[in-house]
Amino acid sequence: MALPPLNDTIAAIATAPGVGAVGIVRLSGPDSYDVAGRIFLPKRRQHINQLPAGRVVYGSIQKENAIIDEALLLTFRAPHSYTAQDVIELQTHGGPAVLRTVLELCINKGARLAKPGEFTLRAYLSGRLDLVQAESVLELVNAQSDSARRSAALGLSKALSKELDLIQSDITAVYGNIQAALDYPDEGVPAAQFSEPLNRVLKRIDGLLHTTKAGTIAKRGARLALIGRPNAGKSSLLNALLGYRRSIVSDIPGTTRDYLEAPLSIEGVPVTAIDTAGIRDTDDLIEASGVTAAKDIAENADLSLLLLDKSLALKREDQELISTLELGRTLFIASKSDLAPVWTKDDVPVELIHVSAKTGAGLTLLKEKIRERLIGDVSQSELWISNERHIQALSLSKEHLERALTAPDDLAALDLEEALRTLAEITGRGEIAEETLEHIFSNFCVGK
Amino acid sequence: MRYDVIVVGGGHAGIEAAQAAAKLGAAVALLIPNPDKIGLMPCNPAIGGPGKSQLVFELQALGGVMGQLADQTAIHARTLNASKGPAVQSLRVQNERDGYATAARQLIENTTGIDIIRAEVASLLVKDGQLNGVILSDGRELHGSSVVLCTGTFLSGVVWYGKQKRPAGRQGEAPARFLSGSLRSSGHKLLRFKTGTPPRIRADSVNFSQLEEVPSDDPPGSFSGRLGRKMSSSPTWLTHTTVNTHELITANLHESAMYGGEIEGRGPRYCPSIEDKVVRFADKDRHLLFVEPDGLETSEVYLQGFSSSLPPYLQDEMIRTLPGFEQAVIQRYAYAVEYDTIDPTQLDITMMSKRLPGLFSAGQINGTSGYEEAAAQGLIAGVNAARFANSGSLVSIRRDQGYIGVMLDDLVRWGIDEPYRMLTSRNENRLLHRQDNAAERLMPLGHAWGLMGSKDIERLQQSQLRISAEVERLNSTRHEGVLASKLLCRPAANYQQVIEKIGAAPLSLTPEEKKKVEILVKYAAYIERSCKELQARQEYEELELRSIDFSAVASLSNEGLEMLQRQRPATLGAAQRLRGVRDSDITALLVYVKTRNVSRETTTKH
Repeated sequence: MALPPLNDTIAAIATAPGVGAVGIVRLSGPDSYDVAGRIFLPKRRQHINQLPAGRVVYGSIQKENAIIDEALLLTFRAPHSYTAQDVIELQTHGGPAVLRTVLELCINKGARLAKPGEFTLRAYLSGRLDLVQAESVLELVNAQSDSARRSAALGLSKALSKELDLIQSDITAVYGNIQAALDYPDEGVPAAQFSEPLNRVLKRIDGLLHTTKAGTIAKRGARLALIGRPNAGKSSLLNALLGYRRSIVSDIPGTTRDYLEAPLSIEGVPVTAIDTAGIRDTDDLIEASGVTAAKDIAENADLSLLLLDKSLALKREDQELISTLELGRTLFIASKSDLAPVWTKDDVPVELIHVSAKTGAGLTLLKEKIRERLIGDVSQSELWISNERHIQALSLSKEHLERALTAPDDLAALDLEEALRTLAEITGRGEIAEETLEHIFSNFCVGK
Repeated sequence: MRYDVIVVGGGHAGIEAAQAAAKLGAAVALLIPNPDKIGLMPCNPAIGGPGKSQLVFELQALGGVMGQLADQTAIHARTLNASKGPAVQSLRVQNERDGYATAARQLIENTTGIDIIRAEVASLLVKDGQLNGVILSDGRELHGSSVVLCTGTFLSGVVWYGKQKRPAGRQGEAPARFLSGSLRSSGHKLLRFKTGTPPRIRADSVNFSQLEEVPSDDPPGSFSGRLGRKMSSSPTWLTHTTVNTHELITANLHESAMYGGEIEGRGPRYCPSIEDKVVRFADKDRHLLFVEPDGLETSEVYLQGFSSSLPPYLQDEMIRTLPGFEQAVIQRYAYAVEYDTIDPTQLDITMMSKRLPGLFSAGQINGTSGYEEAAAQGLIAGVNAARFANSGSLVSIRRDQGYIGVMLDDLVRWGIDEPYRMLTSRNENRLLHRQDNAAERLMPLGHAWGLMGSKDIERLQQSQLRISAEVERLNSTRHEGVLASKLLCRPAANYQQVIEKIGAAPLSLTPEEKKKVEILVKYAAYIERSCKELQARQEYEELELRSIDFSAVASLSNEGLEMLQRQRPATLGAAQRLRGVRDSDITALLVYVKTRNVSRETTTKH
């Protein structure tokens, strides 16, 4: 496996895992400022890449024009930084889900996920650490990469190893076939049929990537948004889920001013519940923007609970929310089911869960549904991918495979080789040339 | 008389080694028992093919002679994989066997500085651990600073016909009986390999009308740009095995030396005998066979795909089951040969032995197979033998620079357990190492080594200017609003079609240059991506590890340390590819090297 290059831009979560008060995502490398500029919107609209060293800028992390979180951006300029490269630190509110999103954004916008100890390695190689420190740093780097390897090995369940094995063998078969035809052009090697087997491999990879969300959620926690009109019972439900009083609950609409985050565990799944400000029709807030705000919040959550007050008539906002929220990521809750209902399930086109925060009726069912939606059917399967590195390797090999589908034979072969090399980072099956030759000579009758 | 360089053997490796060393001004002795065998093609009479043609083009760029010899004596040429994309297009030419040998011998005879000496070498002349030449079988000593062994399959060679064996280096030639022992006593580990060659059939006994004809390309390609006068004068042919062939083989497997277990050497997977093919691919009812002429006037054809270790009487029967060969008469039977090779992990990437400075080896003695592989090693060994004799620093070609580098790196790094044949799939940078750009990749090196003249470099530069001007023109000229380069990028589009639309290039381009423009434009995106990947690896590739005491590097894993000490990789790139060396070991090495450089710089500042 190749060592990473030293001159590209890397990103990683710099704070310890778990929920802390502040979480930091750190970028290092020549494009740090550019990457940060693509995801961080400064309150005072400064140009990030023109900032000098030593600045602290207030603003927000943006994803497709939606705000993920408020954040502080700290600037360091080469060579006066930990790694002696341009460095940016993004400090956000600590939730693991937020940090994960920020990291993903950095990677989508041009940074590479740092390998274990890579920041320290860069710091070391740039001479930022002295020789005495060097030894201990080295041990640390080695310990990290070795333990990462061990945990990577342990992190692969039997079923997952088997699945990856199949993927790798299928690619090797296609690659071997193409190469056999290229290296023995006259010897009657049948033309490689690659679209069918590669599409099959792509499906397998998609299947694995599909589990990544569940895997990550199981490990790091999910964001659960509580949405609904003011006084629909969001805070009461949160308290009921928590088992203690957290939000200030009253009958006056809009009591929850901004939003509250509460960590809790639902059926063993770590969840950060976000109790949003109520969506309501006020004089200065047109209806549409209320719905838009709810949509934005739901967009950034892994799952949303839309609360519909069973004891009050449905309003147009309710109907609009029902039709705009993504069905797959929303649970629809008929709240206050202990009170006399004024509408029935036939009034809404979605499946409802009846819950009373007051009596606790329906809570167990709700928790089960939340768990099912968050980690769903894959929770029973061993085919879980939750390691960022594995996710990246799978996505990357998927890109190579997709490129191979449309390329001429020799270039397709190069893409397949690259896909195999990428997968080898997860599986350790790295002797690609040898395996391919073995495949060629055991499957094709070639040679003089 | 004392020589600078003593080359032992006059095959394809020996030719390149001798001529390169002589061109660099060395006094060269080429030792061979029978000078008529210089440049012999003991297997098929063809040069090139996938992976191999790239080696020949690279040799051509470095100052080798294989390309010109092949062109001079070619009778048939095809570009293989022409429709499969640019990375693996490969030229293959058929040659006149005798013509090639004659041309090679004349070239050696006419090269100033080479003495051809008719002799067999008995052993290396080593005094106090220093190589000082060779001892001949008649007891004479021949003194020299460097010795290049290019002995092919002759080291303790044994030839097998069926279960009959006799000592021989090749059919009808005596083996080198003593040299193996001499290599062992100077500390070298030897391996035993096996290879085979198919039967030769009397041409007048073949019914060619029953065979499928494969014509030469029109126009034919060439390695050197200078075609011989007999080019395209002959086709090659195809035939195939039949059910009868398969039955005959299956019934007589016990007669095979391989299947009988008598031969201990390992044969190459890519040179399976016909017995192997029939047994392993039992579901196939026919196997393709290539019928290659040995020349225009010669009376033999070569039957590629029909290697066998079955006894001659069965070969006679087998051959007559092939369409077109019903009356065929075998002139020379298929045989297998077993021979000693030096375990190439004992060599440096310069082809010099790590055990005995001044000793170089090239070709089948290093465990490779093929004329082209041998020639490429021969050139590197010859250049370095001359430099060693002249107390100069040794040179080589890195893996990221071309196929030759890939081969050398594969050999000395991994070692091998079967004869090594070049294949395009061995080269991860094959899109960048194309046969069409060998000159621009390697001619500057050939020039720096002293094998290529300034005129060659000037011609190359002018050609490159013409090409880049034309690429630039395609990138800036539009036809009906569409950039010419975009037109060319469409599937199935070619350069000719595009210039019919936008007009011919202002500077006239050779056909090769046009082809290059087409590749550079059509595959620009892929080439750029490959370049980037290569650059990312470059930093590690070039970091020198030569003078490092690995045991002084902290935190190496035991397995990694052992492997590093054994293999002594020259660069971090090479270390990275060693089995048993972990990522953390590479990190540790990187840190160690960088720190050492830093502390050195600090010291010099004081």
